[in-house]
Amino acid sequence: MQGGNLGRYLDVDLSAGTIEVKRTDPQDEELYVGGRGMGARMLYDNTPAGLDPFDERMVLIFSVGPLTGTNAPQSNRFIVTTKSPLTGCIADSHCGGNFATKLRKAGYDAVLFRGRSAHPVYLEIDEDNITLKDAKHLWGKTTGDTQAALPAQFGKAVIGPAGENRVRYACIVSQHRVAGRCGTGAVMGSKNLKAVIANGKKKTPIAQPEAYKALQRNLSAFLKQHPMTGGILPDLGTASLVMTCAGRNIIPTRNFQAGQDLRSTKLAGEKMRDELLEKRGGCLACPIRCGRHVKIKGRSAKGPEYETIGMLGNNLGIFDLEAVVELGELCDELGLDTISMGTTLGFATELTERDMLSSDLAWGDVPAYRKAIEDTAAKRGLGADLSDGSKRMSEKYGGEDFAIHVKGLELPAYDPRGCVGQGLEYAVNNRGGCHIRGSTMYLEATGPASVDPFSPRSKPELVVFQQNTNASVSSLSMCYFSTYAVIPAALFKLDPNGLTYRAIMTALSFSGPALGLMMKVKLPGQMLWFEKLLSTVTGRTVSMSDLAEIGARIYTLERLYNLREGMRPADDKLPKRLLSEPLSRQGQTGVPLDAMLPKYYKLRGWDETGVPTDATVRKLQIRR
Amino acid sequence: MPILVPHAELAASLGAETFLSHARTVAELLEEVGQGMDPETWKKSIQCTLLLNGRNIHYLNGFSTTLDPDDVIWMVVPSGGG
Repeated sequence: MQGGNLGRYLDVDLSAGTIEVKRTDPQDEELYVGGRGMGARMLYDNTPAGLDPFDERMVLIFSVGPLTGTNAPQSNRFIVTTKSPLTGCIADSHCGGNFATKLRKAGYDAVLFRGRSAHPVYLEIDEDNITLKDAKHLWGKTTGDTQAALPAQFGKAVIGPAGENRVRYACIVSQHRVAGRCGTGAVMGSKNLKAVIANGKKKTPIAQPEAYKALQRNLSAFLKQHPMTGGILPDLGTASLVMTCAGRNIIPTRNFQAGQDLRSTKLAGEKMRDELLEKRGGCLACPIRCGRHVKIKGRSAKGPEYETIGMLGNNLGIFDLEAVVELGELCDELGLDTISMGTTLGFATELTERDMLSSDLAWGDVPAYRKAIEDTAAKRGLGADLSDGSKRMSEKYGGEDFAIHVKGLELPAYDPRGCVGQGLEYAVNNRGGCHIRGSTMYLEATGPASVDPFSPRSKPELVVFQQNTNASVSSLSMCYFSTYAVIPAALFKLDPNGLTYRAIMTALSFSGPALGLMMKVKLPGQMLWFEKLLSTVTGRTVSMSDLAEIGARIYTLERLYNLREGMRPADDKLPKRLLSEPLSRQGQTGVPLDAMLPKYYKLRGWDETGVPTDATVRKLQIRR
Repeated sequence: MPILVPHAELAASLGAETFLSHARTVAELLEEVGQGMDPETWKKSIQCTLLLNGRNIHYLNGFSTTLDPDDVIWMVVPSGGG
């Protein structure tokens, strides 16, 4: 018996108002697994080249993976795939919460939307009862009010006013979780689709239930005991990163003009825990519970993630945690990505400082930023410019050298001048300036390991390895945080100033060739829980090497999509500020991108201009 | 004067988020901060990464790294998220 994916998805034509249940291609399921991989495949196959993201024919895909609904730890993600109105590249935006599980329980692996409804609608999926419903009464509502107005028992994915108004970085919200990046909410809004809700009682079939149960039990226990997934993340949430990134001189400060501020301590995860925390929260089937609920001004609010603190706090000169909570909450309610919003506001503030833009924005001015966020969602006044993002603003007002984006997607809260591998990752990521396509910074600067963060040595290998792992894990629709537990707990116990620790880090900084070789050789074994979970659930034996190859395949397919859509390999670059403006006198001079890029292309099997070779495409069995 | 930013746990013990010093080297600075603390607690407290303006001191001159008046030294522990 085969398990995991159910092999069926919904094809919803919003123009015609029709809904069809379709079968997924079993061969594609094997090659691309689910979630991110299937989303990319479906986008490639269902759109002609060169389509505008807001064209009626553009598709918007919600997909889940083979582990969804099995209760495997962290198997709670859904992925939204389309073409990004910010970048013109592939957009895949991921989100936790309970919607993924509810969609699977309704009986589907994915929902593909095409067309545009003549009036606002939402899709209700209740197993075989699937209905497009009128959403006029929801249009204009915030994400919180929209969710509250929909039936409680359903999992929900909704947009706010920003999505309705096609703000290029509008997000999709589900419970308190957000599919934040790339503007998927704007594409949803362009289709007059306010929400997708799902519910059901169907089960995900598991091919080897006994083996799976044992694995699931052991993994849950392991994650709860690991110092990162069972210690730091539950204790401090992602805000644990504030102090580390400030110390590393990589927390964006005044539009990446600096990498730390002594006042960053006021935004620390420890502050949130000790002074504001009401309770922890988490996604369905996740033992980590990294979410925060805080109490401010006598009411409950969502505790901000590190990225929100970094970009709407530190980067804007706001060192008041309660103010950051409120700005983050405002963005979520209006349906705006906090990263792109914060980075764009930082850019606009520097433009203002340099007299290149006339605005009221000033570092630390909370009311001015609050108004700018509201205006962005409404596309009002300066908000109309802000809603287009940093790249387009720089084309209008100048300042390209300090517009902090890659391919149009604004950078998150890690300045790559203090983690140069992350800089390479930003430059080559298929969706633009994103940190979570490989999280190389975790191995260089923020986690227990620190592979010389200023050196390009071994970084191309590390980035390829990390990106492939991420692509495969997110095709299982698992949260990437569990990969943090791959690093042995013993490393956390070593003194970073001791000889043993330093010897290990030195060895790791020379590990590139070995890692490169490992990626070339096909090994039959299973080492980690990802391939073991996939094997026990689907009944297909998948090795660690198989999973890495799946990751490489997905990554290359996404690259092919981007090239088809007009992206040029020359777009694999970083803003000039990050390449050449020194951040400290201790050697933090800029990302040596040219020293890493050719090696990266070679490792990927792409030619020297960054185009996948025919041999690579054939080897990875990618259908063009 | 160089400034030390201790990690949160140590800051709580010291009762201060930052520590100003006249020390000329990292070693001197640590000695100054650790004065009066229980030796076992102190030993545990300094098992962290020491960063001078963002650079690990071991890529500079280790504990002998000299300090300039406007230097900032942060003590950090591992973190995670994204």
